[in-house]
Amino acid sequence: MRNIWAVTRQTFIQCARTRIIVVFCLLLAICILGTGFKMTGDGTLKGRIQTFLSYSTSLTQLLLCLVTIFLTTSIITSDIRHKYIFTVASKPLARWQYVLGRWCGVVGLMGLLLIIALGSIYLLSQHLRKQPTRIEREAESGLTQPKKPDLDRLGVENEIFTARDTHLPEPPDIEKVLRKKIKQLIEERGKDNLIRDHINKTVPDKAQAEKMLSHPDTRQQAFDQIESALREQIIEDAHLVRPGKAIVLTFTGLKPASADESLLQIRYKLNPFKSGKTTLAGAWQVVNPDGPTDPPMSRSESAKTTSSFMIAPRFVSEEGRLTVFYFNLQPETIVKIQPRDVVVLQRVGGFESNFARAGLLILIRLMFLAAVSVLFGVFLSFPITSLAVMMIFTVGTISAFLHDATRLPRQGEPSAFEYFSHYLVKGIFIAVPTFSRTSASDLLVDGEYIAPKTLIREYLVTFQQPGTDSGRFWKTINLEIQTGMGLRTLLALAVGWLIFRRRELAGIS
Amino acid sequence: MPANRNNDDVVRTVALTKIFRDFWLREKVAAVQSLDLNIRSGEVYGLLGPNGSGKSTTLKMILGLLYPTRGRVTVFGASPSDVRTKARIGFLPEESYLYPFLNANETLDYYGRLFGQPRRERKRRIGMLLDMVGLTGSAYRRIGEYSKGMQRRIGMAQALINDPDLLILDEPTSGMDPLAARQFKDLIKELSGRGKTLILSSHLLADTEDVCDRVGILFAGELRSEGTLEDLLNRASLTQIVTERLDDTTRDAVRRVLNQADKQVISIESPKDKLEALFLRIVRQAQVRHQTVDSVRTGELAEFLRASPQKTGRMVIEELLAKPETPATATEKPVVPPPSPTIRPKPDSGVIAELMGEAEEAKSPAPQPEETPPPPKIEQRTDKSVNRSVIDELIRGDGSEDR
Repeated sequence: MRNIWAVTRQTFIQCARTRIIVVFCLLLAICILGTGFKMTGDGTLKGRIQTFLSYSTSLTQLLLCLVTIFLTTSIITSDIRHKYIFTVASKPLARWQYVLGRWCGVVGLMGLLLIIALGSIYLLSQHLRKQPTRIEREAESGLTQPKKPDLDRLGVENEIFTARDTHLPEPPDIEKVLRKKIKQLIEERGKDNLIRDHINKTVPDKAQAEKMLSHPDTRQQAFDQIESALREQIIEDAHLVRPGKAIVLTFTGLKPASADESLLQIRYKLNPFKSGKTTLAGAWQVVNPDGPTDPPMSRSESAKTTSSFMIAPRFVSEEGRLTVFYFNLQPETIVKIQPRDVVVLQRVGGFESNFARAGLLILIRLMFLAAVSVLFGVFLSFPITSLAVMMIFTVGTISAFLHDATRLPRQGEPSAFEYFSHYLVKGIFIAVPTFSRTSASDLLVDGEYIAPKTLIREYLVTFQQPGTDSGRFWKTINLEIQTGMGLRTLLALAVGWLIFRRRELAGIS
Repeated sequence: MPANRNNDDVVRTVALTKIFRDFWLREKVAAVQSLDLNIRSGEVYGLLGPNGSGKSTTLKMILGLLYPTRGRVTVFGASPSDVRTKARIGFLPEESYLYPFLNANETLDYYGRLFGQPRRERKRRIGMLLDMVGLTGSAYRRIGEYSKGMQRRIGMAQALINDPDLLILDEPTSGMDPLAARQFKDLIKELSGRGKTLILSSHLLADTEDVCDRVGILFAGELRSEGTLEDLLNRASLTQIVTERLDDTTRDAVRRVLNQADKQVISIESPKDKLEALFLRIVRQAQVRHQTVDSVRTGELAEFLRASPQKTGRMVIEELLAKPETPATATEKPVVPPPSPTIRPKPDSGVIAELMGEAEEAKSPAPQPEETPPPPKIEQRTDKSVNRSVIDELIRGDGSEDR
């Protein structure tokens, strides 16, 4: 332990004395102050603070990631290139202690810089929070009477300086609807007729169709196909709001008004179904299943754009339920609402603790990059190591895009290239983490709660039900294991040590 | 110089072979081939050979920085990669590969930490080592700003921070001026006198001849010759008589006597001084004229490197107080027992006296270790700024040392 501490301390001193740190600190100061004082966003105070938080945290994260890569790579490879390692390795220092000490030193320094940077961002955001909104400025100067409510101020306090949990609507019971539909069809037309009609439609050859009808197995297969087609149709229908119709979304697990008086936010995105319409007219109505109901609120929204509105906590029942109706007021256009397109955000914690957790999300990324730099640095030269780690960083950052771009098409047979690119990207992301999965910056800007389970997912490992995008293996075992960056970090360090242990530190001289 | 005090092998290599290969694993260089070495406790062993003969490769295998292609190497009976083995080794590489952004104090502190030395003990040793190598005044200067000679000295200090049982010195005097090299050699002799085992790699034969008990000559990776200096250098077929200066008549008489005994006179000539000795004498005389003080000379061993008879009561108390803090690895006693001072006397102070030009003192018999008083100080230092080594004085005098 003493040896690890000695190397850690030495690394900390070494890194702190490099010019790159000075340049980084200057850049960081310029970024934070520049975004804090120069960026105005959409002109509102909320927009200004959101823009500041978004840019400053993103830039801090980016700069720290780059510095981590170059510093770690530089110190490890220069030890070998300049032969400092001769003196160090001839001391009673195990190779794993060297690897771990180097990593700890870099991560320690980066952690300290992160604390300083985030501390500055926090202080500056608090400074901006105290700035008056446009309405407050006008009221102060006597131009207008103070209006209530000041939506800008409400937005600042309820959408940014908060930590809000995201609630998804309860999924419709597709199986129940399916059973009901099938029962209805059988009652109306009879099971045999249903099967016969289906086979006749799908098999043009009469003799073949008759043969299939006579066999119980093929009849059952045909019935299963009917069920499957109906299920798909029900699922699609559940997310479609036809003109003049409404969709009912129920949210559960919310805190009742008696427990929390802060405002809730409904955030949504509307998509025109098979239409190029860009503006969608509709109405929203929020209902407390046990109490008050406000009249529907008409809104005209841009299609495929996230919008939101605030609601009072009184709409949440004592059981924590909230019902939301959306009325499609379009004369012709069908609106499609995907499962995650409408969410309710409710405050569950404070901004400060959420801010600290956002810092932990950034830190694990730095830890991973430092570990990968160590892994490559112990056997590759500086340029190759930095290039390799930069590649990993870039691929991890654009992971969402890569996944989307290489997704197998749902219709038609994929080409060989599509198969190749799909499985290549899947293979890459076994080792490379998907940085885009959790963005500390986005979460902070939206005041979204960073739950402990999110941290566990990023640091350790999570077990979950396989999703639609999960691989065949996970679907087979009906469980998906997602390894976080913490585990990948440990793995990278372990492999780095194994390589370094066998590495000859001297060459021909 | 006695060859060895016991037969324990500190370093042993058996058929040690190192072949460097290229990226495609094709054989590139056979740097060391079937090398069998047995380096005994307490001896100063010199590995000689021209550049590229495999000296450094052998040392690096002994240190665990390279792995043998074939054969075996053990240090203190264990693998060189074993951290317990490394805890007993001090290494001075051919160049001082030290972090340039650290100062001397931080450098020694770092390496002291790697040996698990407690803070108090570390500070004590750092102070003594810096004083010993004459860098106290430059303790807070970055090593990157040091001259090559200063870097060698701090390199030597880091090699001694753990009071090693085995000291491996790769080209120890390279880049040093003759005076510094002389002082380095004195230091090696003193360390040897204190029971340390030393392995010295050099292609400077004079250096090796001055300090080594035994040498091995390598060429093209193979050991061509090995033995004590006496065995290797003694020319048994010749006899040399050294007398006062003879006039021509006496010379003729000597020739006649030898001819009568049927012995051929090969040469009669006046012996010449070695250039090194001349240089050292001139420098010393210049120092005396300038009334400078040899305040931080190298070669005066740090107290913790000395054998126990020289401990003062205060030091014993300090050590007792420090003992509970000392980790097991740092206090582990060497398997090889320390040599008895009665077997091998401490190298006399004549070398130092000779350097000082005090011929009378040089002729006086060397005191036995039991009776050795603390090293006499020529003058009490009152101003730290003049507390410089001879080397420093020389360097700063003409400012000619390369940076």
